[in-house]
Amino acid sequence: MWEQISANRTRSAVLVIMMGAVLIILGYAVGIYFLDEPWGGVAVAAAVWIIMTLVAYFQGDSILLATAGAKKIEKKDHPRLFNIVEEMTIACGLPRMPDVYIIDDPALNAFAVGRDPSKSAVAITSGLLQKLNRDELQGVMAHEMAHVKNRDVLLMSMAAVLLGTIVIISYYASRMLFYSGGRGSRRSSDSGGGGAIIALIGLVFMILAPIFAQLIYFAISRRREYLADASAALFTRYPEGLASALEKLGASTNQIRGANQATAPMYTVNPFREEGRKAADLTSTHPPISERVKILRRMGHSASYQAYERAAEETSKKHVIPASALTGADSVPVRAPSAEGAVGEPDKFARTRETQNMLFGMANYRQLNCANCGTTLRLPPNFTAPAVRCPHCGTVNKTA
Amino acid sequence: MNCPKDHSPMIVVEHDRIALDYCPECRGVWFDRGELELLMELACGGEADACTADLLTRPEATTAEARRRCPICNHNMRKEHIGQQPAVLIDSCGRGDGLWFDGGELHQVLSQFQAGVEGNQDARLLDFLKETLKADINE
Ligand SMILES: [Zn+2]
Ligand SMILES: [Zn+2]
Repeated sequence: MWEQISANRTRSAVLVIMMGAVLIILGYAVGIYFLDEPWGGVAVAAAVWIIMTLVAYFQGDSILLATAGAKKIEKKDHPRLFNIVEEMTIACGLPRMPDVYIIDDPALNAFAVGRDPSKSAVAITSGLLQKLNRDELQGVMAHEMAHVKNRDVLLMSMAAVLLGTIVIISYYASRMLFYSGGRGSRRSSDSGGGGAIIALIGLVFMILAPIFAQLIYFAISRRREYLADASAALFTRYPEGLASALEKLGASTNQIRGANQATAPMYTVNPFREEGRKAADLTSTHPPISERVKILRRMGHSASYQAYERAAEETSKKHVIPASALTGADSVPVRAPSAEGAVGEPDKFARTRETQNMLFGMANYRQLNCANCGTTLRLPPNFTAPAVRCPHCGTVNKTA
Repeated sequence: MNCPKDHSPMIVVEHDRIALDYCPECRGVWFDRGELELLMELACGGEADACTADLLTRPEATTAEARRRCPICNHNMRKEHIGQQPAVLIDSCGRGDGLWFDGGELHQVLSQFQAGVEGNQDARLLDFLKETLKADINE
């Protein structure tokens, strides 16, 4: 996988430089319009670029986790999820187990962040955690951890932070332009035709910058999805787990709340779509889910990059796996599915309760069992009444 | 989570392995999507997804009743009917986050409701509410 890792380093550098170029041109345009001095704008843009690159490198993961509303959990909060992440840490050969975060959202999605494999985190929505059985959860976690292993995560968080910066600056610049009536500064109108043309180009660029930035981003994010799927199949030795998880993700119509334009490509499936629309028929940041599912299901009885590449070729005439991964000898037979209803394996109802208990604990709910009928009541921290009546049997229970 | 009607804190009541959010002030009930899906799993078995989707996306009912905001996404909810003779007017989140049942009317309907007469998902949902809120209804 060294080819992939070094390719990602090169891409990170190219991305940072291109985003910098976009920012500087944007700064030039902003300078002409608002500062009477293009180079002032360029200087500010260069400073912003350097600062944001450093911030993205050192703080990108915590910014993205915070933006997504993710909260870190401990093993005691959700032992089953922790076991799976521990298992996959060994299977992937990561030097350290990623931190585990939960996003309290009924939508189905997950993502990974981190600077390198020794400092990374995986985040999953509570909705997805409830929906997936063990094999599926393993598939999704392995997919995310493959992004860590393949060093996609630094690239993705740098891109997300820089793209976010460009989107924000363009947004405010166009707002300011709108309020100033779009006439520009005195000097640019004084300097006649040349100045006006530059200002016009700047204006066009200001509108195009976010689109440009996103294009750069899209270009890098599609192929790494296939590779992470292939890695997940190899690490779990069970392509069907991820395939069936992707199917559930694709059928869901809930939109995740904590996502924005800049962070969209991080997620396992694209979080952006029209309200109520299925995730399946999407879009430019991610390969279509139906295609990813078909490829995984066509892998047959050997979980390897070769088998994935062959399946991708048969499904959509595509080469998706880098050559270095194909020459390796990594090939393992596909294992059997986890036994349905295996001992200690919770069903849908138990999984929901398990996830809810975790969220209630994190939100400091108190549990109270009705003294008469035993009905479980949970009281939020802002519930301060001295007593609560059980709606099932009518018994008044003291809350203190 | 606070009550969409009077904004007082809601408690969670668990019955038959399924939880709902309940406002002790106005006795209104909120079902989030996950809970609704579990309930439909019991009511509709293999067609659970279709049953849930049906409950969340019925045609909008015409009514003068005040709009309520979804306690999850804070968008205005739609009004729709569930059950027949008598039907219950409920609020449904357009994003599919869940369903809200106002306290008073619901309890009136539930006190007349005979389980087993209608064998569909509405009947199972109302039946579940009737059983969970037994003491509230028989007052
Ligand atoms: Zn009781
Ligand atoms: Zn209320």
